[in-house]
Amino acid sequence: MSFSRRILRLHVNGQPREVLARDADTLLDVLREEVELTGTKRGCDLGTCGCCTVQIDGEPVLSCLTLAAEVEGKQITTVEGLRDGERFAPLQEAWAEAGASQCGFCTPGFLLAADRLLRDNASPSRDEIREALAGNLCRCTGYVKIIDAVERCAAEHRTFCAERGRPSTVSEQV
Amino acid sequence: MRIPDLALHRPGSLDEAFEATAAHPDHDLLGGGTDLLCNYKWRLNVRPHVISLRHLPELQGEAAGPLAAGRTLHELEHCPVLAQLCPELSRAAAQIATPLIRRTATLGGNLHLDTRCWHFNQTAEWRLAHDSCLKAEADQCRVQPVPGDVCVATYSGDLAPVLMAYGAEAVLVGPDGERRVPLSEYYALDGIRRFAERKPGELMLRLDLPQDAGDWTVRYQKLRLRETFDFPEGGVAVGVRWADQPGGEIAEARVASTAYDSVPRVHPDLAERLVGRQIQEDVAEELGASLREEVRPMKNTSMSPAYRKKMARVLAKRALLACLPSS
Repeated sequence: MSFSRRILRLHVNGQPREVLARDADTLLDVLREEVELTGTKRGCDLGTCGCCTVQIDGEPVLSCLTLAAEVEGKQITTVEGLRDGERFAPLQEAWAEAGASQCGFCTPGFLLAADRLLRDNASPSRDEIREALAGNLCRCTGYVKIIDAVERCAAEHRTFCAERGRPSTVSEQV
Repeated sequence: MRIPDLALHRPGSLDEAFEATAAHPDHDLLGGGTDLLCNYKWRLNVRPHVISLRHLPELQGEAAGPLAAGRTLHELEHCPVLAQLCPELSRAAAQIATPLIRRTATLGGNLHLDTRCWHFNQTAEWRLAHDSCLKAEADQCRVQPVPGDVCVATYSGDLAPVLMAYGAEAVLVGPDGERRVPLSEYYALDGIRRFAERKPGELMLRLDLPQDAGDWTVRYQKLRLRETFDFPEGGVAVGVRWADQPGGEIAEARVASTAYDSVPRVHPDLAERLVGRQIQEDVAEELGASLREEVRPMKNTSMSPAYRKKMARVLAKRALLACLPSS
């Protein structure tokens, strides 16, 4: 039996991309090797470490356990898509200010998972942050500074929104 | 790790799904894929055809019903209908794996979770070095070499015992139409065959709860090393329907376990002994001691069989006591 490659039409970070892939290729394979966005990391490759987290239509998903062909037509956001032009996203700034990265390998996955949390919950408690990030592993820094970074970003965002009279979460905007 | 070559089929209707399963008998069904794709990466029983169930409207979305097989564990966890109807199912879903896996993993996938074993869930190289196991490349079970021709891999789903305690029925659909099977009769005591009641080409559409499900108090207790990631090393669900007042006499009971066998199991004799009694420390202790006698864990997961067996007593006791309104 022969298995051919086929063209997949993906939407990555707001851009349409056409890639040639096998049915068996995961989204992680395609993002790193065909789209050449290597911010998404291959860690355990079995869904345990969370390093490969991306967002599909805004939901955090493990790209190592998602077949690329299954997400045709959906909006894929990787860590490269978080920043606004040349500026880092506030969450990335908070990560740097809190010293939440050491080797940085796990950081993209944490950022995508934390970004989803903050869009639902503008004032997460430390327990809520721990729960939301429970599927992401960091093997060098530990978790205190990571939780600090999410708290810091949430606080800054609330202040920013309050000063402008804007709602601070996606849920409030809906 | 690259997944070996395969052909992915994405039917958009049940008829297309039946056509695909009939045309490609050597297939696996793909729900969330969080278990299946891990196995494929380890070259475990890879099939040439994979049929995705993620594009069937009958299996997902709110219109498919709160217990449609394609609903994600995240959806079960946060579903307001289920929070009213069967709250322990939502709580059990929230204890599975990690928040990230729960975004993709499905109810149907959890109920069809492949059985697990220390000698099976390993890389191809590890298995090659250890002569593999009956469920993969070898012809004899390494956990129970005599008789050696029956797979004793452990079923490790969390939702099945809870649904059994609620009295759920599986709704299966095939080319000949729908049929219902009590979930407690769905599984076969064989880690390879796994299902007694699923015919070739049939899909699980949804779970249905009995009309009186809301009258039942169900509690689930799970044994695992970490509070996230880990599969259960033991799990016990206890359900009671009160004769009169909550916390009073028990009119009807169900007891189900997981991770102690190749199947999730109901324990009707133990449940029967609870009828007509009130939940008290000694009753809970008696239930725990009886369940400990019934379960026969194998040496095929991280924790020792002796410890898992001891913990069956603790889990059952805790689950029953947690049914009390004051707990």
